[in-house]
Amino acid sequence: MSTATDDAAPTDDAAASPQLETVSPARQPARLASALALLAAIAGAWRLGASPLALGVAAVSVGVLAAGVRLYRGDRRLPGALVALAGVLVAVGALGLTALAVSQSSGYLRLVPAVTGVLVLGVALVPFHGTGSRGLVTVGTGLLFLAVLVSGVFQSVALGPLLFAATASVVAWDAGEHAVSVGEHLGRRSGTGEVEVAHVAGTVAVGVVGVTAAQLSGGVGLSGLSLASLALVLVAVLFFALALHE
Amino acid sequence: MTATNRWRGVVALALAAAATALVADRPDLLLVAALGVAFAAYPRVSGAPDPDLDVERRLSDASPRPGDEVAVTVTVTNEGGFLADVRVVDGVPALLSVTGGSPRRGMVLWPGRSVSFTYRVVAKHGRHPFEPATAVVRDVSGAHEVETRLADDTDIDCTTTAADGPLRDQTLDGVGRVVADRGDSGIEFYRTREYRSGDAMSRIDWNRYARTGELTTVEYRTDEAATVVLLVDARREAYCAAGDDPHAVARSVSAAEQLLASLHRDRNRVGVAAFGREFCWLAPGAGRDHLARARRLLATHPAFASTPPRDGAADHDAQVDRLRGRLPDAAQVVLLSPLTDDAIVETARNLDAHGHHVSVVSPDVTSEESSGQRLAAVERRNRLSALRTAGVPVVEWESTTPFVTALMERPREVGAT
Repeated sequence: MSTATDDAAPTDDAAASPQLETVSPARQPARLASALALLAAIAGAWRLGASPLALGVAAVSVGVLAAGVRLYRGDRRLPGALVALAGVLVAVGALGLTALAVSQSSGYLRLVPAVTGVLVLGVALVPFHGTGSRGLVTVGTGLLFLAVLVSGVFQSVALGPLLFAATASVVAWDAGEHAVSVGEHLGRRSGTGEVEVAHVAGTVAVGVVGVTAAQLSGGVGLSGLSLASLALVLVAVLFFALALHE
Repeated sequence: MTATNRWRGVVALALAAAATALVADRPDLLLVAALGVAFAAYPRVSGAPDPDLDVERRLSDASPRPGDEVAVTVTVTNEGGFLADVRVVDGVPALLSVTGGSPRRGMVLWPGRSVSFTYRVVAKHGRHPFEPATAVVRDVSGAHEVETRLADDTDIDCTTTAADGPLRDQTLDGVGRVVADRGDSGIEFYRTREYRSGDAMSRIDWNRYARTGELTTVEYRTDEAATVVLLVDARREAYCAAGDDPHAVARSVSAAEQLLASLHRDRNRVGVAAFGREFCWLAPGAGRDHLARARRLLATHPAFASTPPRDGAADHDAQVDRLRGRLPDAAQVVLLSPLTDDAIVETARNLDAHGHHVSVVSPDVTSEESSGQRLAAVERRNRLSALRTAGVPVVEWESTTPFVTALMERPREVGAT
């Protein structure tokens, strides 16, 4: 039976008693990077046009879910499961609010995946058992990126928000994966904050540089290009990507 | 250095965005693809880390009493360039449990920076060397990973306890307390027997001669030290544990250290051997120097490492042959093994059949949680009874009980030969 509760840190009283409690590393995704990942995903979905109310409710639902999971893993199974269930219900409410706030018909294709992505990311980072799921992190942020692609196809948002949301989905994936990796190596109870901040800051910096460069080249008048020149650019990008892949 | 390939997926994102841009004729998405390529290029820019770290460990008390809490302060210093992501896991001795703080720490180390962290462990009886700390260093993108081991020889010596009596005079070394079942020229009366020509005059029972006119010779118990070889099963099969407990090899080594101490105190000649990634052998001997050598061997020999051997299994039969070649005649063997497979049972019976009295101490690492574990427990019980049927005494050591004094009596019960 796991003793990995978050409040198991021994006090001075425990040190005085003869039976000392053994501390086990809580190998769950690191908190700070998880929070940053969720924040990035929410910001991305917001820039794509999801209703702030729905996103707020989604954030609350992940918080409630996290509280429930914490109880559950602390061997208070029933109350934990009930609180987590409440979190799931709030999440369904967030999806409902998202759908209600949609104004254009393409909104369902764009915003429901975006908010679902945020929720899936939340589930990935507050695991009921195990160390958190890289697969679910990828699925959640993948849904957000899908929303970016759909928004691009329907031309529902301007270039700036589109690039912002795309960067946000990459940053969310990177921070989520990093949270899982740090959690596996070090656990939640060790000092890991500075590592998480440094890593996410590096990714955000690359994102800022990328967005700036893309916006600059967008301003050159790329939209005036013919499809043939676009295809040539695509081939160039493809080769570049392949070269990097090697 | 290993490549984590964690940014590989972003290339797929870039290609997906570019393909969508082409099909739907959306230049904006092409710029999204360019953004993806920027992220794909990121790990190339950040490059692989080249860590040069130094670790120092300080103990609040290097020789505590059992049950005392010891605070361990680990300081990691960067003696190389900037390291964005350093994850350090200290090598807590396998048998000690952490009761406060965390032996793990993530740190960002710019050149010259030192980071300290503190955790507490509870001392248990025995000598507990720290394993090297493990540092996993990643670059800022997380694409390159370097794992290093940072050694700093430290140990918690929890052997000098009030319960242990002072050592006896060294002049008596080599004379065992183990009672020999053989008559000779000792001190303690053993038996009388008929006089045979050549018996010493002083040994003739003159009182009896005066009474009955028969010549008889008195024999005394021979004083003889038992020769005991502590044989640790450290093969890959023995590296198993129940739940969060220390694995069987760690417990076997700990038991061997305690047996070593008690057998030495009783002035037996003790040797150490192990089957494992490599064969380990220390010929039986007596005296404090030998004891120190044996302890050092148990603490440092690679066969007793706390992590299981990675590459394929060593040649067990060859190791058994080497052991049989080196075992002195009439040496007893105390085999410490979790008995996780049949080969070790076969070895024990083989050694016993070749005239070495074998007794087995078996740390119990089975549990009852899954059907597979229950099956393993049944198989182990079968091996125990097979050994007992073959006349090999077996001591079972549950993980919940300490390695008790009853166990230390065991080699004496077997008796010298």
